[in-house]
Amino acid sequence: MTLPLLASSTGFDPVSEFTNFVNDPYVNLPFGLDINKGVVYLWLSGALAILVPLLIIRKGLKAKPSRGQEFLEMVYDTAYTQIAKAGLPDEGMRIWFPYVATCFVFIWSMNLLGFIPLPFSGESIDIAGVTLPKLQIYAASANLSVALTLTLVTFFATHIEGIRYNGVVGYFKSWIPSGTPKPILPLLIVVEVLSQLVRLVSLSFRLFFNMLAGHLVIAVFLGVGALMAASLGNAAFAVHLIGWPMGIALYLLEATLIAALQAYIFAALSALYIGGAIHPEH
Amino acid sequence: MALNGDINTASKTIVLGLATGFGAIGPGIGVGIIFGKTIEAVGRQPELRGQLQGMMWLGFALTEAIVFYALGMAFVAYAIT
Repeated sequence: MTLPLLASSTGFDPVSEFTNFVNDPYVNLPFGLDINKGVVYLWLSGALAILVPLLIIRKGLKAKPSRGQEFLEMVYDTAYTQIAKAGLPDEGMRIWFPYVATCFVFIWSMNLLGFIPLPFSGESIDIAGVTLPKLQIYAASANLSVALTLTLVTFFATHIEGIRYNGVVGYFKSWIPSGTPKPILPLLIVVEVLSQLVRLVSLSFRLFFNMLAGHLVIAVFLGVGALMAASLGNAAFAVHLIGWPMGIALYLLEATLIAALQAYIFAALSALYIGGAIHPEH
Repeated sequence: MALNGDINTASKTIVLGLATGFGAIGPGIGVGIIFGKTIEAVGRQPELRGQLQGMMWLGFALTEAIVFYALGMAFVAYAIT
Protein backbone atom coordinates (compact mmCIF):
# COMPACT_ATOMS: atom_id res chain seq x y z
CA MET A 1 0.00 0.00 0.00
CA THR A 2 1.01 3.58 -0.41
CA LEU A 3 2.78 4.61 2.73
CA PRO A 4 0.49 7.13 4.37
CA LEU A 5 2.21 10.40 5.05
CA LEU A 6 1.75 12.66 8.02
CA ALA A 7 0.28 15.37 5.82
CA SER A 8 -2.59 13.37 4.32
CA SER A 9 -5.50 13.86 6.65
CA THR A 10 -8.02 13.17 3.88
CA GLY A 11 -8.14 9.56 5.03
CA PHE A 12 -6.90 6.45 3.29
CA ASP A 13 -8.42 3.05 2.62
CA PRO A 14 -5.97 0.21 3.23
CA VAL A 15 -8.14 -2.45 1.56
CA SER A 16 -8.59 -0.61 -1.73
CA GLU A 17 -4.86 -0.89 -2.41
CA PHE A 18 -5.32 -4.64 -2.85
CA THR A 19 -8.35 -4.53 -5.12
CA ASN A 20 -8.28 -1.37 -7.24
CA PHE A 21 -5.24 -2.19 -9.37
CA VAL A 22 -7.20 -4.95 -11.14
CA ASN A 23 -9.49 -2.32 -12.67
CA ASP A 24 -6.76 -0.09 -14.10
CA PRO A 25 -4.10 -2.31 -15.71
CA TYR A 26 -1.04 -0.89 -17.47
CA VAL A 27 -1.78 -2.82 -20.67
CA ASN A 28 -5.17 -4.17 -21.72
CA LEU A 29 -5.09 -7.60 -23.31
CA PRO A 30 -7.93 -9.93 -24.37
CA PHE A 31 -9.26 -12.76 -22.16
CA GLY A 32 -8.50 -10.76 -19.01
CA LEU A 33 -4.75 -11.30 -19.44
CA ASP A 34 -4.15 -7.69 -18.50
CA ILE A 35 -0.75 -6.58 -17.35
CA ASN A 36 -1.39 -4.91 -14.02
CA LYS A 37 0.58 -4.25 -10.88
CA GLY A 38 0.30 -7.85 -9.69
CA VAL A 39 1.74 -9.18 -12.95
CA VAL A 40 4.65 -6.74 -12.83
CA TYR A 41 5.41 -7.85 -9.28
CA LEU A 42 5.31 -11.50 -10.39
CA TRP A 43 7.80 -10.76 -13.20
CA LEU A 44 10.08 -8.87 -10.84
CA SER A 45 10.08 -11.64 -8.27
CA GLY A 46 10.69 -14.24 -10.96
CA ALA A 47 13.66 -12.22 -12.19
CA LEU A 48 14.91 -11.84 -8.61
CA ALA A 49 14.62 -15.57 -7.95
CA ILE A 50 16.55 -16.41 -11.13
CA LEU A 51 19.13 -13.62 -11.36
CA VAL A 52 20.47 -13.46 -7.80
CA PRO A 53 21.56 -17.14 -7.66
CA LEU A 54 22.78 -16.93 -11.26
CA LEU A 55 24.97 -13.90 -10.56
CA ILE A 56 26.42 -15.49 -7.44
CA ILE A 57 27.17 -18.74 -9.27
CA ARG A 58 28.67 -16.92 -12.28
CA LYS A 59 31.17 -15.25 -9.94
CA GLY A 60 32.60 -18.71 -9.36
CA LEU A 61 32.10 -21.27 -6.62
CA LYS A 62 35.04 -21.83 -4.30
CA ALA A 63 36.02 -24.35 -1.66
CA LYS A 64 36.25 -21.45 0.78
CA PRO A 65 32.81 -19.92 0.10
CA SER A 66 32.10 -16.24 -0.18
CA ARG A 67 29.14 -14.85 1.75
CA GLY A 68 26.89 -15.10 -1.28
CA GLN A 69 27.83 -18.70 -1.87
CA GLU A 70 27.34 -19.48 1.81
CA PHE A 71 23.84 -18.03 1.63
CA LEU A 72 22.99 -20.00 -1.51
CA GLU A 73 24.26 -23.21 0.04
CA MET A 74 22.14 -22.54 3.11
CA VAL A 75 19.02 -22.05 0.97
CA TYR A 76 19.74 -25.21 -1.01
CA ASP A 77 20.41 -27.16 2.15
CA THR A 78 17.14 -25.97 3.71
CA ALA A 79 15.23 -26.88 0.56
CA TYR A 80 16.87 -30.29 0.35
CA THR A 81 17.04 -31.57 3.91
CA GLN A 82 14.29 -29.66 5.70
CA ILE A 83 11.67 -29.43 2.96
CA ALA A 84 12.13 -32.18 0.37
CA LYS A 85 13.69 -34.94 2.51
CA ALA A 86 11.05 -34.47 5.19
CA GLY A 87 8.14 -35.04 2.83
CA LEU A 88 9.16 -36.76 -0.37
CA PRO A 89 10.13 -40.44 -0.71
CA ASP A 90 13.33 -41.24 -2.59
CA GLU A 91 11.70 -42.15 -5.90
CA GLY A 92 9.79 -38.85 -6.04
CA MET A 93 12.89 -36.82 -5.27
CA ARG A 94 14.15 -36.51 -8.84
CA ILE A 95 10.98 -34.90 -10.18
CA TRP A 96 9.56 -33.08 -7.19
CA PHE A 97 12.58 -31.75 -5.34
CA PRO A 98 13.09 -29.12 -8.07
CA TYR A 99 9.41 -28.21 -7.80
CA VAL A 100 9.31 -27.70 -4.05
CA ALA A 101 12.67 -25.91 -4.08
CA THR A 102 11.36 -23.59 -6.81
CA CYS A 103 8.20 -22.97 -4.78
CA PHE A 104 10.34 -22.08 -1.78
CA VAL A 105 12.63 -19.67 -3.62
CA PHE A 106 9.92 -18.09 -5.77
CA ILE A 107 7.45 -17.51 -2.94
CA TRP A 108 10.24 -16.22 -0.73
CA SER A 109 11.31 -13.70 -3.37
CA MET A 110 7.67 -12.66 -3.92
CA ASN A 111 7.26 -12.11 -0.19
CA LEU A 112 10.56 -10.26 0.17
CA LEU A 113 9.83 -8.04 -2.81
CA GLY A 114 6.58 -7.18 -1.06
CA PHE A 115 8.51 -5.35 1.66
CA ILE A 116 10.61 -3.14 -0.58
CA PRO A 117 8.90 0.20 -1.34
CA LEU A 118 8.59 0.46 -5.14
CA PRO A 119 7.03 3.15 -7.35
CA PHE A 120 4.12 1.17 -8.79
CA SER A 121 1.26 2.82 -6.93
CA GLY A 122 0.04 4.83 -9.93
CA GLU A 123 -0.20 7.90 -7.71
CA SER A 124 2.26 10.75 -7.63
CA ILE A 125 3.30 13.42 -5.18
CA ASP A 126 4.82 16.86 -5.68
CA ILE A 127 7.95 17.52 -3.66
CA ALA A 128 9.52 20.95 -4.28
CA GLY A 129 8.04 21.22 -7.76
CA VAL A 130 9.17 17.76 -8.91
CA THR A 131 6.50 15.13 -9.54
CA LEU A 132 7.62 11.83 -8.06
CA PRO A 133 5.72 8.53 -7.99
CA LYS A 134 4.52 7.50 -4.55
CA LEU A 135 6.37 4.56 -3.09
CA GLN A 136 4.30 1.57 -2.17
CA ILE A 137 4.69 -1.89 -0.68
CA TYR A 138 2.67 -4.62 -2.33
CA ALA A 139 3.32 -8.35 -2.55
CA ALA A 140 2.34 -10.53 -5.50
CA SER A 141 1.53 -13.27 -3.01
CA ALA A 142 -0.98 -11.01 -1.23
CA ASN A 143 -3.30 -11.92 -4.06
CA LEU A 144 -5.59 -14.93 -4.01
CA SER A 145 -5.09 -15.66 -7.73
CA VAL A 146 -1.35 -16.14 -7.28
CA ALA A 147 -1.65 -18.24 -4.13
CA LEU A 148 -4.47 -20.35 -5.58
CA THR A 149 -2.62 -21.00 -8.85
CA LEU A 150 0.42 -22.28 -6.98
CA THR A 151 -1.87 -24.40 -4.81
CA LEU A 152 -3.61 -25.88 -7.85
CA VAL A 153 -0.26 -27.02 -9.24
CA THR A 154 0.42 -28.85 -5.99
CA PHE A 155 -3.15 -30.21 -5.90
CA PHE A 156 -3.04 -31.72 -9.38
CA ALA A 157 0.54 -32.91 -8.93
CA THR A 158 -0.55 -34.75 -5.77
CA HIS A 159 -3.36 -36.68 -7.40
CA ILE A 160 -1.62 -37.35 -10.71
CA GLU A 161 1.46 -38.69 -8.94
CA GLY A 162 -0.72 -40.73 -6.59
CA ILE A 163 -2.50 -42.36 -9.52
CA ARG A 164 0.75 -42.83 -11.47
CA TYR A 165 2.47 -44.67 -8.63
CA ASN A 166 -0.45 -46.61 -7.13
CA GLY A 167 -2.97 -47.00 -9.96
CA VAL A 168 -6.43 -45.44 -9.93
CA VAL A 169 -8.02 -48.06 -7.67
CA GLY A 170 -5.00 -48.38 -5.42
CA TYR A 171 -4.72 -44.64 -4.92
CA PHE A 172 -8.33 -43.93 -4.04
CA LYS A 173 -8.43 -47.05 -1.85
CA SER A 174 -5.44 -45.69 0.04
CA TRP A 175 -7.53 -42.73 1.23
CA ILE A 176 -9.53 -45.08 3.44
CA PRO A 177 -7.80 -47.00 6.25
CA SER A 178 -7.95 -50.75 5.66
CA GLY A 179 -10.21 -52.70 7.99
CA THR A 180 -12.78 -49.92 8.32
CA PRO A 181 -16.17 -51.29 9.40
CA LYS A 182 -18.76 -51.17 6.60
CA PRO A 183 -21.35 -48.93 8.35
CA ILE A 184 -19.07 -45.90 8.71
CA LEU A 185 -17.56 -46.26 5.24
CA PRO A 186 -19.80 -43.66 3.47
CA LEU A 187 -19.14 -41.13 6.21
CA LEU A 188 -15.40 -41.72 6.00
CA ILE A 189 -15.41 -41.30 2.21
CA VAL A 190 -17.17 -37.95 2.55
CA VAL A 191 -14.71 -36.80 5.22
CA GLU A 192 -11.67 -37.88 3.19
CA VAL A 193 -12.87 -36.19 -0.01
CA LEU A 194 -13.64 -33.03 1.95
CA SER A 195 -10.23 -33.06 3.60
CA GLN A 196 -8.58 -33.26 0.17
CA LEU A 197 -10.58 -30.25 -1.02
CA VAL A 198 -9.97 -28.29 2.19
CA ARG A 199 -6.24 -28.56 1.42
CA LEU A 200 -6.86 -26.28 -1.55
CA VAL A 201 -8.40 -23.64 0.69
CA SER A 202 -5.97 -24.00 3.57
CA LEU A 203 -2.80 -23.95 1.48
CA SER A 204 -3.81 -20.94 -0.62
CA PHE A 205 -5.49 -18.96 2.18
CA ARG A 206 -2.52 -19.41 4.48
CA LEU A 207 -0.13 -17.77 2.03
CA PHE A 208 -2.59 -15.17 0.75
CA PHE A 209 -3.93 -13.97 4.08
CA ASN A 210 -0.56 -14.07 5.83
CA MET A 211 0.83 -11.61 3.33
CA LEU A 212 -2.37 -9.55 3.04
CA ALA A 213 -2.86 -9.31 6.79
CA GLY A 214 0.82 -8.54 7.27
CA HIS A 215 0.67 -5.64 4.85
CA LEU A 216 -2.66 -4.42 6.24
CA VAL A 217 -1.40 -4.45 9.81
CA ILE A 218 1.69 -2.46 8.80
CA ALA A 219 -0.48 0.02 6.87
CA VAL A 220 -2.96 0.41 9.70
CA PHE A 221 -0.27 1.04 12.30
CA LEU A 222 1.56 3.52 10.09
CA GLY A 223 -1.66 5.26 9.10
CA VAL A 224 -3.77 5.04 12.23
CA GLY A 225 -2.91 8.61 13.17
CA ALA A 226 -3.97 9.94 9.79
CA LEU A 227 -7.12 7.80 9.89
CA MET A 228 -8.11 9.12 13.29
CA ALA A 229 -7.19 12.68 12.42
CA ALA A 230 -9.61 12.56 9.50
CA SER A 231 -12.57 12.26 11.88
CA LEU A 232 -11.26 13.49 15.23
CA GLY A 233 -9.21 16.53 14.26
CA ASN A 234 -5.51 17.23 13.95
CA ALA A 235 -4.71 16.46 17.61
CA ALA A 236 -5.10 12.77 16.77
CA PHE A 237 -1.87 12.91 14.73
CA ALA A 238 -0.19 12.29 18.11
CA VAL A 239 -1.30 8.67 17.76
CA HIS A 240 1.53 8.36 15.21
CA LEU A 241 3.92 8.37 18.18
CA ILE A 242 2.62 4.90 19.10
CA GLY A 243 1.64 3.77 15.63
CA TRP A 244 4.93 4.27 13.82
CA PRO A 245 7.21 2.33 16.22
CA MET A 246 4.68 -0.52 16.23
CA GLY A 247 4.44 -0.40 12.45
CA ILE A 248 8.20 -0.46 11.98
CA ALA A 249 8.59 -3.33 14.46
CA LEU A 250 5.91 -5.35 12.66
CA TYR A 251 7.52 -4.52 9.31
CA LEU A 252 10.82 -5.96 10.50
CA LEU A 253 9.12 -9.08 11.87
CA GLU A 254 7.20 -9.66 8.66
CA ALA A 255 10.11 -8.99 6.34
CA THR A 256 12.61 -11.19 8.17
CA LEU A 257 10.59 -14.02 9.69
CA ILE A 258 7.13 -14.33 8.15
CA ALA A 259 8.25 -13.90 4.53
CA ALA A 260 10.68 -16.81 4.76
CA LEU A 261 8.42 -18.88 7.00
CA GLN A 262 5.43 -18.79 4.67
CA ALA A 263 7.58 -19.84 1.70
CA TYR A 264 9.02 -22.67 3.81
CA ILE A 265 5.57 -23.80 4.96
CA PHE A 266 4.11 -23.78 1.46
CA ALA A 267 7.00 -25.81 0.06
CA ALA A 268 7.09 -28.21 3.02
CA LEU A 269 3.35 -28.89 2.85
CA SER A 270 3.54 -29.36 -0.94
CA ALA A 271 6.29 -31.92 -0.40
CA LEU A 272 4.27 -33.63 2.33
CA TYR A 273 1.13 -33.84 0.19
CA ILE A 274 2.93 -35.12 -2.91
CA GLY A 275 5.02 -37.52 -0.85
CA GLY A 276 1.89 -38.77 0.92
CA ALA A 277 0.23 -39.50 -2.40
CA ILE A 278 3.25 -41.38 -3.79
CA HIS A 279 3.59 -43.49 -0.66
CA PRO A 280 0.20 -43.67 1.09
CA GLU A 281 0.40 -44.55 4.74
CA HIS A 282 -2.62 -46.82 4.82
CA MET B 1 -16.30 16.05 18.05
CA ALA B 2 -18.76 14.84 15.47
CA LEU B 3 -18.27 11.44 13.90
CA ASN B 4 -19.67 10.93 10.45
CA GLY B 5 -20.75 7.76 8.66
CA ASP B 6 -23.79 5.54 8.87
CA ILE B 7 -24.76 2.99 11.51
CA ASN B 8 -24.69 0.13 8.99
CA THR B 9 -21.01 0.57 8.19
CA ALA B 10 -20.23 1.13 11.86
CA SER B 11 -21.85 -2.12 12.97
CA LYS B 12 -20.24 -4.09 10.14
CA THR B 13 -16.83 -2.71 11.08
CA ILE B 14 -17.34 -3.61 14.74
CA VAL B 15 -18.39 -7.14 13.76
CA LEU B 16 -15.31 -7.47 11.53
CA GLY B 17 -13.10 -6.57 14.47
CA LEU B 18 -14.95 -8.83 16.90
CA ALA B 19 -14.95 -11.83 14.57
CA THR B 20 -11.22 -11.55 13.93
CA GLY B 21 -10.53 -11.01 17.61
CA PHE B 22 -12.53 -14.02 18.77
CA GLY B 23 -11.04 -16.08 15.99
CA ALA B 24 -7.58 -15.21 17.24
CA ILE B 25 -8.15 -16.53 20.79
CA GLY B 26 -7.91 -20.23 19.98
CA PRO B 27 -4.93 -20.09 17.64
CA GLY B 28 -3.19 -17.76 20.12
CA ILE B 29 -3.44 -20.40 22.82
CA GLY B 30 -2.47 -23.10 20.32
CA VAL B 31 0.64 -21.30 19.12
CA GLY B 32 1.65 -20.76 22.75
CA ILE B 33 1.27 -24.46 23.48
CA ILE B 34 3.30 -25.43 20.38
CA PHE B 35 6.24 -23.17 21.24
CA GLY B 36 6.07 -24.06 24.93
CA LYS B 37 6.06 -27.80 24.28
CA THR B 38 8.94 -27.48 21.81
CA ILE B 39 11.01 -25.59 24.36
CA GLU B 40 10.18 -28.28 26.89
CA ALA B 41 11.16 -31.04 24.50
CA VAL B 42 14.44 -29.33 23.52
CA GLY B 43 15.15 -28.90 27.23
CA ARG B 44 14.81 -32.64 27.72
CA GLN B 45 16.61 -33.78 24.56
CA PRO B 46 18.71 -30.95 23.14
CA GLU B 47 20.13 -33.27 20.44
CA LEU B 48 16.72 -33.43 18.69
CA ARG B 49 16.59 -29.65 18.29
CA GLY B 50 16.76 -29.58 14.47
CA GLN B 51 13.99 -32.14 13.97
CA LEU B 52 11.76 -30.57 16.59
CA GLN B 53 12.15 -27.11 15.11
CA GLY B 54 11.01 -28.29 11.69
CA MET B 55 7.88 -29.80 13.21
CA MET B 56 7.36 -26.72 15.37
CA TRP B 57 7.27 -24.35 12.38
CA LEU B 58 4.89 -26.64 10.54
CA GLY B 59 2.58 -26.85 13.54
CA PHE B 60 2.86 -23.11 14.06
CA ALA B 61 1.81 -22.38 10.49
CA LEU B 62 -1.08 -24.84 10.58
CA THR B 63 -2.39 -23.31 13.80
CA GLU B 64 -1.81 -19.73 12.76
CA ALA B 65 -3.79 -20.25 9.54
CA ILE B 66 -6.97 -20.55 11.63
CA VAL B 67 -6.78 -16.83 12.45
CA PHE B 68 -6.86 -16.16 8.73
CA TYR B 69 -9.94 -18.30 8.23
CA ALA B 70 -11.67 -16.10 10.79
CA LEU B 71 -10.29 -12.97 9.12
CA GLY B 72 -11.31 -14.19 5.69
CA MET B 73 -14.84 -15.02 6.79
CA ALA B 74 -15.06 -11.66 8.54
CA PHE B 75 -14.06 -9.91 5.30
CA VAL B 76 -16.63 -11.94 3.38
CA ALA B 77 -19.33 -11.03 5.88
CA TYR B 78 -18.24 -7.39 5.69
CA ALA B 79 -18.34 -7.39 1.91
CA ILE B 80 -21.65 -9.16 1.23
CA THR B 81 -24.01 -7.87 3.95
